[in-house]
Amino acid sequence: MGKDLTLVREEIKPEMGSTDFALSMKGITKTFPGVKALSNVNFAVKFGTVHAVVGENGAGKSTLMKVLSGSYQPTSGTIEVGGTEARLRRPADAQALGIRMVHQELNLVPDLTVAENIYLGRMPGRWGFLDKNEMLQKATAVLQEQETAIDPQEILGNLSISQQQLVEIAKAYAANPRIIVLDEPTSSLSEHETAALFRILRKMRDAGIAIVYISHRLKEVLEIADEVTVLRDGSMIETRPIAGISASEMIQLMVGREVSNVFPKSPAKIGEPVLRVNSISDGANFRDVSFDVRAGEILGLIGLVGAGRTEVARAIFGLSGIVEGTLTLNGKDVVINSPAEAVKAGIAYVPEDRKGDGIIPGMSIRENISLPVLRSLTTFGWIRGKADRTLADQYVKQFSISPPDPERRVNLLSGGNQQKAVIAKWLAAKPSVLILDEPTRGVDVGAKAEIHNIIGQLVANGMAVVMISSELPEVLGVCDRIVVMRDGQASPPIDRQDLTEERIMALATGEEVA
Amino acid sequence: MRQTIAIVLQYRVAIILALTLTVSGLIVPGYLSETTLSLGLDRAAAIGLIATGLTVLLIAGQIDLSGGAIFALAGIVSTILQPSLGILPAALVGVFVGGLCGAINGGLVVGLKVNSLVLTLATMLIFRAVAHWITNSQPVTGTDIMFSLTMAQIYLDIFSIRSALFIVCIILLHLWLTRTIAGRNVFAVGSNATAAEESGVAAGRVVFFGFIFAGSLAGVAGVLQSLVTNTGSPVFGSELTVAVIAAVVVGGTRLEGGRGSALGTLGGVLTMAALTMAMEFQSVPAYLQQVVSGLILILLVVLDRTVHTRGRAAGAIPLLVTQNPITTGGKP
Repeated sequence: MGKDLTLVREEIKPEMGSTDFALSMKGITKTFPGVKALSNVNFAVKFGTVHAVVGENGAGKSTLMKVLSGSYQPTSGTIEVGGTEARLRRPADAQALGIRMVHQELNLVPDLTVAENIYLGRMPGRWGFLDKNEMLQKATAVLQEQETAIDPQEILGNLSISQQQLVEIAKAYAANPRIIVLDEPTSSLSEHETAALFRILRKMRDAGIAIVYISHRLKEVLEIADEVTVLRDGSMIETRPIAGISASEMIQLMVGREVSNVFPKSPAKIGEPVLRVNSISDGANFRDVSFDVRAGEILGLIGLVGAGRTEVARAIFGLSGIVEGTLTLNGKDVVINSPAEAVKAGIAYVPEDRKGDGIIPGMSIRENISLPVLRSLTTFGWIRGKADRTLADQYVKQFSISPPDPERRVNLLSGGNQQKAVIAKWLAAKPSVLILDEPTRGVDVGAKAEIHNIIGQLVANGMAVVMISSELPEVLGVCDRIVVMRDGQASPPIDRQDLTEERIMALATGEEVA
Repeated sequence: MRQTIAIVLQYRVAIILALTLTVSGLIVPGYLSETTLSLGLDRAAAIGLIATGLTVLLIAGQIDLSGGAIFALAGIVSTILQPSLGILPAALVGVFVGGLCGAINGGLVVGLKVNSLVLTLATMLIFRAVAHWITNSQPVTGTDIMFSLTMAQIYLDIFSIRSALFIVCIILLHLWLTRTIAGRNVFAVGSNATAAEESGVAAGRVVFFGFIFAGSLAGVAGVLQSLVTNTGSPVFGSELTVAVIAAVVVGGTRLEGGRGSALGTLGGVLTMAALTMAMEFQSVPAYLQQVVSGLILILLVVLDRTVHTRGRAAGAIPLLVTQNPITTGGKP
């Protein structure tokens, strides 16, 4: 692999000037009408290092990165790239200086091939005619260098989200950058894929690239970063070498208060099994899956991406078919052929892709919440406005959705608050079983704790919860029992006390640990 | 088996066209003669030229409803100016008017960040009204009827000037879309305009020039129509827009953008023309012809869905250009 390096990258060190700093942002302040989003932030990143940026949502991370990418102009402050002062008026300016962003929301073109995506905007050619062979060769080299087994000729839309994430990173890398900014790059990756990503990042770091790494996952920050900068309320709290800082210290700096337990599990009385899944198969993605979930219990469903967790949840909810096996709900066998039947039977499902499946972006919080139960709020087909508003008010208050305005369009909320609204939407239907697919993916520490709290309240009231998650500490902190899936097969539910992260990973990957 | 189905689905337009021609050839006497085919091709050329322009726009995630109105307006302008400018310069001005209308569409869509469906609905009404205004709602006549006869002449036993022009345009567009970087960028903009923009593709410019291209081709079609008939009329092309969109969509170009092809459009235009011809020969009532066209459209759209839903969320409702940041001003 090493000898291919010259094929796709030129040496980057020269012409950089005489500084170790790839990037130095000094005294950055950004005000919007009525809001000070950033206040006098100093942020510097050295060449050949991974620099993590952590902070709760709203702490100013994205604003800072938008200033860096040229999308926002700072109200005051200076930016130096490679030791030279730079004015970043447009994203193109930042790109010309070798700054590349890998966004959390994938910025790829689904209908083009992987290779075309990697070279979009910079396709090789002569007289305007595309040189397909050259593009394919270069893309293959980049993907190989990243040790990803992705076919550069595949149409991007056919790849899984995590593969697309890797393409996005390859795209940034292929542009020969000096600085790469990654925004929550692991939110859609399994632990396995995260490890692969980290290998790529270390390689890029060793090639002298400065990497800015934004993440909510402190464990990953501790693993990959050389330095960490903590932001809170638009101010820079501290920059520290990663050696000598712990996750709890980082959390303390982020929230400005001591958080004793990131994953509070309120004790709940465990009752009778509510939902029993009896060796179900869908003929493709999973087979012979059995488990039960009891009233007052949180059952974790964990596994690598592609292990079949989401497919099991979708099948239970009637979104896809079950070819073998049965479901027993409250002691009675049920057949569920559609989500409508599932809702009627008392099963609710909060999907993983919040934007795609969970919320209706153009509608208000109130309209989203009452959507599944609208029929019960009508008199002769007319919606009773007051009942509708009361319902929304109740959940906005109970879940402390912020801002507490039921008429706010739901796509204007932060990720954590959107998730709360989605959960509220399903609770209004009063289900006895709630299935949550990655409920805390991409939300900040504070909102995560709140969501865990909400789940805790629900089980305390006797609901049975199935929670799919890729975060081991979360699962171990929140769940009573855990089912580990691998290649479409499921372990029996295991008590939390009998599990460690290592044990779960061993079960999920099939690699036995000593 | 599965592969066979995939191939059949991929070339569905060509297959349906071949079927139409074969069946029509068997039941309609004289259908496959050179005269009939050249006549049909010539008639298809008007729809075809507008469809060629629209193909680019649809791939870029936009739509232009004003093509029929531009068609009429360009024809009128080129006819009115014939006495003062001469036939050919007047024709060029007519084409220029088409391009100008396209530039107005594109400038407004990009500049005001509005939905092209709504905007070109508005400009369709305006362009049509202007056409009525400058002609007092009366047809205008050209200066030289003999020139019209030259225009309608058939070369190489099959091509009229405009059907040849249509074929040439389609082939050039095909090469441009598949072989050039700019062509790829059109697909990128239609598939995900934000991503294209952030990758350094000037999405607004792509859309703007797409509208100019579409307007110019509608202008060319209108001018040719006026030359052939020696007439410019404000009601020309009023039923064209829907037929054009149908032909492009039958050709496999997706209304939501990001996918489509010039050769597909060629197939779509020819299929629709072949069907119409066959039914006219059999004296099928006009309303029944429309029913058949509608059914073919539904059939092909369903086939298209079958081809492309693999690996994607089933049941997603296609949104007509509403999710395009260019037309929604960056808001989802």
